[in-house]
Amino acid sequence: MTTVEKVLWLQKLDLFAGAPGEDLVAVAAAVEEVEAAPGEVLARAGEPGGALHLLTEGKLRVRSGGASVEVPPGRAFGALEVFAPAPWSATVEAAAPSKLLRLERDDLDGILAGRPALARSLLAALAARVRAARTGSP
Amino acid sequence: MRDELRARDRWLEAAFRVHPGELRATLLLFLLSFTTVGAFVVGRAVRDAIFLARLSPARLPFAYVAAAAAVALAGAGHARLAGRRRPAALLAATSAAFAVLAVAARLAFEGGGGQAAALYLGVEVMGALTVVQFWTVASEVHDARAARRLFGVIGAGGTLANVLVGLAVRVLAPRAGVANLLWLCAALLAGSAALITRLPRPAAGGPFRLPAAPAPWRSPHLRAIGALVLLTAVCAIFLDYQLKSIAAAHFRRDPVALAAFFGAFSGALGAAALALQLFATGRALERLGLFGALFVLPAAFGAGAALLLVAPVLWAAAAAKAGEDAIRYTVHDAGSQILYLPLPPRARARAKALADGVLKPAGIALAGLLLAGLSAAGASPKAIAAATLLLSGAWASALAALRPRYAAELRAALLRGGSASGGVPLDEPGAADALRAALRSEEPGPAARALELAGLADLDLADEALPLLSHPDADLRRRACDHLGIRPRFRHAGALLARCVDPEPRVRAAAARSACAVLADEALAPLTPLLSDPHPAVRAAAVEGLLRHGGLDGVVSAAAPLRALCGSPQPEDRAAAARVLGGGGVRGFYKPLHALMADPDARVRRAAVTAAGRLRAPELAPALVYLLGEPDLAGRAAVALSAHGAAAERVLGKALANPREDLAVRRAIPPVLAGLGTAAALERVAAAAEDPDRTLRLRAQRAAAALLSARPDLPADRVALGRACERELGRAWRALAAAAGLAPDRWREPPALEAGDALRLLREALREKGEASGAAALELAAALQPEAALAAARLARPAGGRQRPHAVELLDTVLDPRLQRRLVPLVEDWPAEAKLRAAEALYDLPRRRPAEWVGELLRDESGWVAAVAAHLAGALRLEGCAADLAALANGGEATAREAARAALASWDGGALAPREVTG
Repeated sequence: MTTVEKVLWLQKLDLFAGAPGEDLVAVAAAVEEVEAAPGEVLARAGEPGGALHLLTEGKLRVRSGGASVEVPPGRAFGALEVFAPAPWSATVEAAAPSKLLRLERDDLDGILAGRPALARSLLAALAARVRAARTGSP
Repeated sequence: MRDELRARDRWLEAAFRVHPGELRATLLLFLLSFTTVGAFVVGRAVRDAIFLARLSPARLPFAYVAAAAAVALAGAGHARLAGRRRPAALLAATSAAFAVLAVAARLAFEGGGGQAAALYLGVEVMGALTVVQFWTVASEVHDARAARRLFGVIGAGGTLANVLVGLAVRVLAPRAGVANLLWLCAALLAGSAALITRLPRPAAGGPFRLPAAPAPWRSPHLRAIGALVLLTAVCAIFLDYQLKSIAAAHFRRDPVALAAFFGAFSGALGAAALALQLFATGRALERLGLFGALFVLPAAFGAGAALLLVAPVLWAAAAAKAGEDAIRYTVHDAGSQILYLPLPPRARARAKALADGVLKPAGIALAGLLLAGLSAAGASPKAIAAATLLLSGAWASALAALRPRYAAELRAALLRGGSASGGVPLDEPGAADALRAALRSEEPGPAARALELAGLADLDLADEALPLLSHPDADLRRRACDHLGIRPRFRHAGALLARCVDPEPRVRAAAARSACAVLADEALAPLTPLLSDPHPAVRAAAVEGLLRHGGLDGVVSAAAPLRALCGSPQPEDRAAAARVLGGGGVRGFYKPLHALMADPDARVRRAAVTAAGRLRAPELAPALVYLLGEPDLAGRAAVALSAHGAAAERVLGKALANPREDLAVRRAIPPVLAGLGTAAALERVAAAAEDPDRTLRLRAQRAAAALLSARPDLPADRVALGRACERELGRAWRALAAAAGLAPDRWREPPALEAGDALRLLREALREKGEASGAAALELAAALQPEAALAAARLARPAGGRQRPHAVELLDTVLDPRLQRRLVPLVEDWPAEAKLRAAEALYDLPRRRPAEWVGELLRDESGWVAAVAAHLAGALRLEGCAADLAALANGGEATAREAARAALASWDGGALAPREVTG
């Protein structure tokens, strides 16, 4: 996947939707392309989490408290954990041969230093999430 | 982004400069202008006809004086009310009240002379109040920038009313009777009251309570406006008098000939004014600038007076009066309303009411008195023309004096909107007492913050901090130890030495440092046990204290423990050693620090770079410069180099000027040089302000701007910086043109799916590129013309906020015309097409087909723009771009190279990829 393609994928996430393209180039350079075979566990509930995962191809299954839901490409998990490490709240595994982009917390910290516009857009996206959670809107 | 317009929007924008979203309010204000002025036109016709029919024309001068007095009285009352009521509510109430009065006047009308006189005065007051209130309402709805474009169109409603309602009066009067025209007057006033309810309310919600405003005459800006209003009224009456007296003589006072002449004159003038109002006023205000447009009227007066001075005949008087009227009711009226816009709403409403309700009639009365005097003295038309010429000269001078006051008022408006600091400045009386109280409270949080603030503000609170050495909170004990070391006093030595055996290592370390500062060369004996403390931070603090304060014996005793820390296998020890070397202040110890800057452990490297900034040994500057290219150390290295001051300047400048130097290092240098604040630093960043590398160039421009803004006294090649500013603006405009040229509606078939995403990304990349260039140019412009600094600072805020129009207006007013024409349209809140039209004459902005733009952007100086263009070319299979893609694949920046190669490879399995593509 080229840097431009990674940027296009990152922009699908609300977190990065408002970020300047040139800043996203730095994020794209830091993300790691990950492949997962069906059944491969990417995050296990209760274990420490600290990376953002964005599904670009395939399908993921999210299991929590006996319930299970499948998510299509363009969806992500770990968007909050990449800012503040916390145990995963659910188990995520590949439901089909899948490709993901993974961004580690340390890498994001390094990227944010000296990129105020990116930091501002991330804060705006997080604020929008808090607002949506408060009002109960999706 | 509002850069794609529908056909209707595009037409409205091109013809009337009405932008999307402004149509409804503008149309309503246009109609309101029509009904307000229309009601006055009808009322004036009725009152003139009835007055002249019932009373002798010899009473007319008394009517003028009485009308001026009535308007002035009503204006003064209105000025008081204007500060307390919302302008729209006031206009609605005034219109409704006069509608009722018009109906009552019609019902009660019997044709008596007293009624005629009362009607005369009532109509005059109604016209003066409603017109003033109307413009106050318009000023509330539109900001200063929109007002420039739209007040012409809005005022055209009034001009149209003059023509259409005037015609209607002529048609209806013989059929319905003059008195019955009062019904039409009442209907138009009721229409005004109804239209106001449809107007959008200004942003400020809640109950209407405007902040108190100082008396208008106390403001230099308002005094200057007042002088202008007075001079305008006097000049207008002078010219009016000349036309009427010359016409009376020309037609030998034949009433039919006079009526025919004035009728034809008025009709032609109305049509000309309407055309001027609709199509020229907004453009004149935008192209000439506010003051350029306001100068047109005194220039017209001067020209008319000069013409009359040479040829005091009817055609000259008619031409002079026509020019004056056409400009006054269009360009001048619209422009003069803008002068009030920087004022706070309450002050604005009062000032307008006073100016139009009191000063204008006073000017008319003054002109009457002057003319009476001149006539009594037997002055000829030429003499009156000479007086008019002199008055227009005074008017032009008053305008010139108004310009800096207007700019000052705009600055004040920007500062009024600045966020007020919530805290109390530490240098204010009472701040130290507040900190002492916080320390006495012994609450860990407030006391810790008080110690921190005391350190920042350089306040001595040692006696209050002393009891905190035994506080249960370890962090507070540490802070108290640190504070006692800032202003060492021997009486604190015992308390500090007692903390050297504190159970908390960080407290022992802080106590060791401060005890050394207090005891100086007597510290060796009591501090020696700490040199073998189990905790590296404590050992390091003792070593640092002895190095700094312990004299020769201290240095000798600290040497061995320091060497041990430097060579320790533990990264924590080596990092502590770096901190000691930085804090020890012995510049000769730079070599071990240099070695630690290249330590394999990142924490040690970071500590060493920070310590290098504290040590400020010139020998470390070159190594620090090279660390600017390392992402994880660049920030610390920049701070360390800034601490070196002028000593780092030469090595930084040399690296910046060397094109073979690592680009990452060169790109990081301009902000560091800016921090040095020296003439040589400015010279070096200015020399890089046109570097071929875009990132370096923009940083150099911003650094030069920051330096010049902070130190305007420094010598600088301002011409070269001005040139760099203009070229950067050219790049911003070109990026905007490319983004507009790639808009989806420019494609025969707009790209969809993946190519659609790539197109959006490319247009975003161009927008960001243009914004970056525009921002750098704005900073340079503000540095070169400091009067624009406040506006530039406000525009640099992320959203711009409500103050953006004022900031743009200030830029427009203070920048020199050349830069103003190039920069101001770029920062306007306009659709891209409108902006580009403003810049077409100044820059070569090509019109290309979208695919041609993509081809050109493959060669763009921005690697990111070229990369996205390559991606789009690949997704759209733009085979005409193959050669440019191949060139990019072999020589562009890494991201662009990668995208170009991927694009070529995606075409028929790479069949189109030229063979020279490698890697």
